[in-house]
Amino acid sequence: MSPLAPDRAARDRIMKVVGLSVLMPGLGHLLSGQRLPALTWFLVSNALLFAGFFLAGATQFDYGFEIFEGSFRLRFLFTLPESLNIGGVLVAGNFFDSVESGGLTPTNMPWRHLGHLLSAMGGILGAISAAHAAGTVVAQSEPCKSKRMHPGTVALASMLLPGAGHWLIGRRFKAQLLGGTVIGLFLLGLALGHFADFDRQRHAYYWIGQMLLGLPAWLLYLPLTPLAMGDVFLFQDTGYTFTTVAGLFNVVIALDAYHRAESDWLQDARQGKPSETKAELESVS
Amino acid sequence: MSPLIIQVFLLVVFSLALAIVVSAYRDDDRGAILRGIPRRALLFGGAMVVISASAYLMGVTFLFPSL
Repeated sequence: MSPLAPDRAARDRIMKVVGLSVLMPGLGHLLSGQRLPALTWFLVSNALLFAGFFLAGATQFDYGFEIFEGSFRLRFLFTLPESLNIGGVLVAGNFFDSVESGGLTPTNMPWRHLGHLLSAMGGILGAISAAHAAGTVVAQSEPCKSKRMHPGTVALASMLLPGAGHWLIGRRFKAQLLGGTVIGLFLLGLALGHFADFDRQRHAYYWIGQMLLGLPAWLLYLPLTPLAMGDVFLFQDTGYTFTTVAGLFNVVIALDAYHRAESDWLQDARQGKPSETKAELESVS
Repeated sequence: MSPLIIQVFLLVVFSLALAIVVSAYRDDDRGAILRGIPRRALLFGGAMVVISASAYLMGVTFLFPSL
């Protein structure tokens, strides 16, 4: 990995904007003085989240577990990936109650799956807003004259489509290799579960990882939900593992794309300047 | 195909996928990535085979329920 990294002041600002973005998408951009992107991230992430809670009757709040009994009863919600937009989920929790009351009152909701899809997208976009805000700070702290892609935009592209981030920064081989690998792994995993292993109601925990694959998973979710498992398939557990790990691999790929883009950006911005950051990093370590 | 052959095939696929992602994360050069893939795939696949063989051997020996 390249030693190029933002200077100490920029790293401190990155910590702040990432923390704020995780609390509420858009807040990090607002701190960076980016009002329009701040408003866009806030509206898109929260609109998807709230539309999802509305359409699914807030049944997202049914996932979790309880400990203790009676007045000491504690309920732990496992509302992921929605909770990647922590502020939005906390606000939604005050407005919505699950129509199914923890699964006790099953209700027929025609838009349930669409609701779960939208709220998950809202949560994941909330997390990506933090990466985008961090990239904004890098771009502001060391402006680059060449037309390089902003690291935050690269991370966004990579999370939405595996390999797209590497493609945008000119690493075509890595883009094809990584994109083909994770999408292939995901499709093989779906085939092993007879395409019925991608459903939040049946496999809520696997579903969290599966949704991290980005657009390929989001586009396949609704067409695949009518498929019933119906039987126990020989390699269905392997199918869950492959599809979930494919989503988790996509996060690793997005992290790599972000750091390569950041390194490229800083290299261009520091052309002709002595690199103080490397010495600074070594002194810190 | 017997389930064992399919399991070995799936282990090879998963080991390769893992090795590709790890190699591409560690290296940026095409040659270095390609050189790292077989080594990492063998390391992971081999570890899985050793763990599975150990689990099987323990299952048929001292963990086998006495009748």
